[in-house]
Amino acid sequence: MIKHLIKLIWNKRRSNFLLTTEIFASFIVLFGVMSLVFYNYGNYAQPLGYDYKDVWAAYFTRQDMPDSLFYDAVARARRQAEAHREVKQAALSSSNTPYSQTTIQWSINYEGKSVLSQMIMADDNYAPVLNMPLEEGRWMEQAEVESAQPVVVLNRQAREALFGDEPALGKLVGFSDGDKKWKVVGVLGNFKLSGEFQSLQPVVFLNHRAHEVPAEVVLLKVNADADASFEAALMKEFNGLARDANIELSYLDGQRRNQLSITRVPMIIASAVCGFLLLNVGLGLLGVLWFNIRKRRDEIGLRRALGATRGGILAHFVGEAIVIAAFAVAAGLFFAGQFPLLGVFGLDAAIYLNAALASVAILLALVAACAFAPSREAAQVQPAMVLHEE
Amino acid sequence: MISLSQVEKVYRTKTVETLALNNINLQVRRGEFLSIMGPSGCGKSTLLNIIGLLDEPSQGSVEIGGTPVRHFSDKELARLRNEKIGFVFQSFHLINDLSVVDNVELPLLYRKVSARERRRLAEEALGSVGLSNRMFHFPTQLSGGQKQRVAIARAIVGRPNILLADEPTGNLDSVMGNEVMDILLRLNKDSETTIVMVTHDESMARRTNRLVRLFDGSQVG
Repeated sequence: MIKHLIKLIWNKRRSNFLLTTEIFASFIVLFGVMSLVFYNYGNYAQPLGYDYKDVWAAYFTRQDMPDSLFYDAVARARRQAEAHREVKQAALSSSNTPYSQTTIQWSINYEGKSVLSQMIMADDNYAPVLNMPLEEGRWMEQAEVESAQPVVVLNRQAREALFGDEPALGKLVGFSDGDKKWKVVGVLGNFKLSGEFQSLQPVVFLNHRAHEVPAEVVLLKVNADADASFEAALMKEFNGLARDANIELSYLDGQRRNQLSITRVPMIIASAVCGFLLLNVGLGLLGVLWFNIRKRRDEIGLRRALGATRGGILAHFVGEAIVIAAFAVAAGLFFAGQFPLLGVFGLDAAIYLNAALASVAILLALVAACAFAPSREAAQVQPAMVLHEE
Repeated sequence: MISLSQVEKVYRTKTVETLALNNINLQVRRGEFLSIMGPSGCGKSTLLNIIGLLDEPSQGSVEIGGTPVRHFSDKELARLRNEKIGFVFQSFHLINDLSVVDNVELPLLYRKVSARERRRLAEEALGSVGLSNRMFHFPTQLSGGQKQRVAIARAIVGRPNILLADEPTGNLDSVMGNEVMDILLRLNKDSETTIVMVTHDESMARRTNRLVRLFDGSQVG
């Protein structure tokens, strides 16, 4: 029977061309949206690697302050903040804090291998403030920071990219901006700087005192009762320490919300466009099927006379709609198949495969659902009425 | 082979009640070629639809091959139509999007027959109506007489015991009409197929074994 349906649809390919084209276009858009959804979900499902709750970030921007005074003021701000009951711990960081939408990328080198990585200047308190668990080794220590030892901590992706299966601890790595060698003392798990929807990328944490550009942000892990009045008092203190600097304080939680909306908005817009297209396909299909069934009443009567049951007629017309959709989807799958083959956007092939399977399932389910009502009407056609001709 | 007893058919709307068939008693023997005649609107096609299990009588009973069909389900009726009854219509009712051979195979799609066997039986049926050379043509490429011969091939491909023909020559000129009639007579004679034919044409009716006349839904001769 399937062969019969395919033959019938193929012979009527001209009249089904527009509908097939519309389903094909919907498949492509749906495939794009589903790829985006699977890509983002895959990223979201990976652990973030740190805890952003109750963490504040004070960003110091140097105006006319000399370097030495500026970095000294930032360091003193950290120490002074820790003296408050409301602050559990404070750490220093470069400006590319989590969710800040700031990135600093350099190449990290090891024995001729070079990996582009996110570079974060940090101190000994950085990992405790963000509650970052280590997989190997340890975090940089206070003594190392104070004596400006060139030590680094890598995340898992940086470690794998540089060393593969070899051990990383104790190895000396270099950066594209100088000849200094830095010792690897620890390895973290994931660290998704831009938030939940970011893909896993190499990140390297450097002892900020060993670098010529030290940290300029104070990260504060505060108690739950730290309120606006405390924030105001703290800002007053910080302004007293660095009168000629501009200081802004943000909550990582708030920055996270902004970052999430940046990812969500395009997904919502794409989904809305796709939903509208699918609605069009559904309505188009309903219209075409109602029209076809009215036009083909004598064929329905004939099939009933030749031995088709009511259920058989319903299955026939739902089947026809599915075969039309299958033609369009087959063309769409050929197109979609080029994405992993050509490595478009550099996404994992599994994302494209899942997106294609989901798109096929959604479209076929939609087509079957839309075909059901007209097909049920077809099944109710009385053969004695439509076959009779005086 | 076919037995109708006190069959009545009434069409009811909210305001009108029309008696289409009134107290029809009819027995058709195996291998008989029966024609039904009568003026337009006298109930010929309604009677044929009831014999062909495409419609139900309002009263009375219908037996096919000795089996009463009154309480048959949709599925059982469909199977009986498929296996025991072949239909030929005045306007052919061929599917224009399918080739001649695919049209002829249609009844076999509704029973468990392999694709190879379907093709063999369809070729055989087309051969018996002299259309082996038109297998891959489409209905729009055929003349009226050829279309009706395809319809006959489709009706006999499943080797039914009964053939119901609703004015099979009504849309054909006399030459083509006679050709179609010859095929029906040959089928009746060679394979003992029971044929019930509705016709307006006295000359065609005279060539059959028996003639039943209807008038205003009643059997008059």
